[in-house]
Amino acid sequence: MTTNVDGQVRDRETPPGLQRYPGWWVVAAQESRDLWVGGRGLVLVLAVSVLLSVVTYLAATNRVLNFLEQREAVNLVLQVAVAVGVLLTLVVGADGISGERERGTLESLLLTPVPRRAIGLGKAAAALSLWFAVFLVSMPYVWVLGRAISLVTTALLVGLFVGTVLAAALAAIGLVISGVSTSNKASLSVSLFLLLALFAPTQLPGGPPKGWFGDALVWVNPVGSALHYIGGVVVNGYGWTHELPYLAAPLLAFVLAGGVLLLAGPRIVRLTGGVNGE
Amino acid sequence: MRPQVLLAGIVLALSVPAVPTAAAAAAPVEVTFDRVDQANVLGDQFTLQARITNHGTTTTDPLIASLNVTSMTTDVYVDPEDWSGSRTHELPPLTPGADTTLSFELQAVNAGRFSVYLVVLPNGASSGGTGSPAVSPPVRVTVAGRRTLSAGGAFPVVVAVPVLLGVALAVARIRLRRAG
Amino acid sequence: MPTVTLEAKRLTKRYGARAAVDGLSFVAHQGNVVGLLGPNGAGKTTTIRLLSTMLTPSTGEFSVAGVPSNRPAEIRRRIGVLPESAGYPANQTGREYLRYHARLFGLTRAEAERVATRLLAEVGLDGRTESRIASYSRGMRQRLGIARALINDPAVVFLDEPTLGLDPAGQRRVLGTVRTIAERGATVVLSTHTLPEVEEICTSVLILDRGRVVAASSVGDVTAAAVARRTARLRVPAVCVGQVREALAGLAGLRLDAVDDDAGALRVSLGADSDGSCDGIPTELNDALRAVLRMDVPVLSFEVDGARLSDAFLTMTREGAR
Repeated sequence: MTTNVDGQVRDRETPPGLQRYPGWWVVAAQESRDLWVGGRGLVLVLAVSVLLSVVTYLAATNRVLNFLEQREAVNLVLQVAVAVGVLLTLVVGADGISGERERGTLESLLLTPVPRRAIGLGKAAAALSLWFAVFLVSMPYVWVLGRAISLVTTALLVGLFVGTVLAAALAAIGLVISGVSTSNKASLSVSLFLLLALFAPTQLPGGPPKGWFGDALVWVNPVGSALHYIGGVVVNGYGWTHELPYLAAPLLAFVLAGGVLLLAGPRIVRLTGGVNGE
Repeated sequence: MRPQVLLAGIVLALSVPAVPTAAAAAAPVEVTFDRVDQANVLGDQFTLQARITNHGTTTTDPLIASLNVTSMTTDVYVDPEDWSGSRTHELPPLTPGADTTLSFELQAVNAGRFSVYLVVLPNGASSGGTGSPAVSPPVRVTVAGRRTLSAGGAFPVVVAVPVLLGVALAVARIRLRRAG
Repeated sequence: MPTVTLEAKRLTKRYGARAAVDGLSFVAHQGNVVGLLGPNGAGKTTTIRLLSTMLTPSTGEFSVAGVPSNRPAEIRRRIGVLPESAGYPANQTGREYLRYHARLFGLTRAEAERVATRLLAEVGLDGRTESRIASYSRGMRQRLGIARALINDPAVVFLDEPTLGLDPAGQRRVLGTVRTIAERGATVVLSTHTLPEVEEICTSVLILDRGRVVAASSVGDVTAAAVARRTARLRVPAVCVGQVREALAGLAGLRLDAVDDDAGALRVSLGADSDGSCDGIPTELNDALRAVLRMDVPVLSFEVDGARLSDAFLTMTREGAR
């Protein structure tokens, strides 16, 4: 028997209290706090805001900007927000497990009764907070560029939905890579290379190759198809269902990556990296 | 004297059919729109219907129809591709008296006064785009602007957001330093 | 009959052909302090990681506080661990760190705050609760780690090298904390290279060598089981060495093995005909000391060899075989 500071007597055999909050929530709250209260997240978001300020100011000072180009300016702000937002969530995810291993803080976390997959979920949620912060910061810029052409609500909604799906997918992918990597450097390298490979086809001069191959290239790439979808709604004025097939890749990436992170959580969130077991 | 007059008359009668044929060949295809005026606000989408009719006595060659947009003032740059994504259509040959209708979806992406017109060119193996075009009467499009985007309007947002974030960052750093 | 809080049966962990832990079996009871000893690479940390569910055994089974090894989350609710190379988040304060881990064990915010405050006071960090961990010294971090290991009021506490890198005062403080933990009824498994610590506070000892248990018993039994000649090292002022030689020369059952006149050091060992003993420990060395004291010779030090855990350790492990 033990007597705690409040004088309550507790049988040592009884675990101290039931889980009051889900474990993943406690992990997410603390990880988010570490990210934001420490200032690291704010630095990143400040850099994004400077970039968006430059883009917005250049668009606003263009006196011959026609209607379509205004739509394209709104689209550009959204695409910058989505690109940077998913980059940040991927990087934070890629550091999530391998970084803690190298800093020696993972073992203490694993020694708690919180299930491994809940730890992974909590870290993904904290990484996702960066995307939401970037989106929040981009809202005033979208408003100032889009209010004259009645595009603000549509642009924000489509950006939020598509960006969230993409960011969640990449946060999960980053954590999976982090879990199986043998070092933090390897995890970050692989993650950034993956992101580059996903973004590169969207930046080809003249756009993707015409024909079925070009269409397939866009369609299978979750980043490329997400940006294509956003462009269709914002620039071309398509309805939300007009190019729905282009949402397949981002949604599939989200489901697959999230599924791997949750189902294989115990094999990913562990003390040692690599794929050969303990 | 009468036989010479008769001969001249016969020659004249034989040559008359050539004149109407040449005249018919000069303008067998007619292009018209369903309206002559269109008033819009910047960003509005609208549809124009064009009718292409073969008034000639022979079947036309395959045709190409191309929509154009021109600004009636010199200070507005117009890119027709911004107005309509599908401006060019290929048409099969039209038999005499037949007609066909084309629809064009446009969006008023510039403010000002514009003319929209359709040009139809023969595109057969022999004509290959060298025949005389048929042009529709222009549709007068007036687009009222509502642009409120300006450097002055954007400046507060462009400055305020980074400044606010910078202040928040400074406060966070000061608090951390104190805790350390 | 004290409750069995820790039991391992033929616990094995293999990495390919190499067995880091091979057939480990032992039992510990409530209130025991088990000293886990072994040379570097003997399997001490692997043993702790197996018992704390950080690693999965290749074969064998164990139970902690009555919970079998196939319920690792339940085991983790009942144990506290101070890992050997524990890291701490630099930007968190000590209070924040403990509060976070308390909440991971299911405590509410208020409960977590109370527990954090209490434990920080118990380990002597109540003056630095709002300081960032980055500003803590090594000793402070170790104390924070011990506090973290106690956050869930565990039935079994595993401490892997808790005094590593600490100054003597810090070591004493940690050992005092270990004693207090055991007095409260928890079982402590203390992995350390510092044998005097084990002799001082451990009720039993488990010596590993190359993954296998070479000794598992009380400290006294382990040291007694070591086959070692009983010798003593006697130091007197250099000018008195001659006197002492004469005094000791005539004593039965004793032999003067080595003399270092310059340092004033003599080694006295038991001869083959010694027969006096107390509880199996020969008493002839006492005669040597009495003889020296009768001559009023200042005794600078008198240390009995062969009765220390370190001797048993060296005898039983490969380090002693080198």
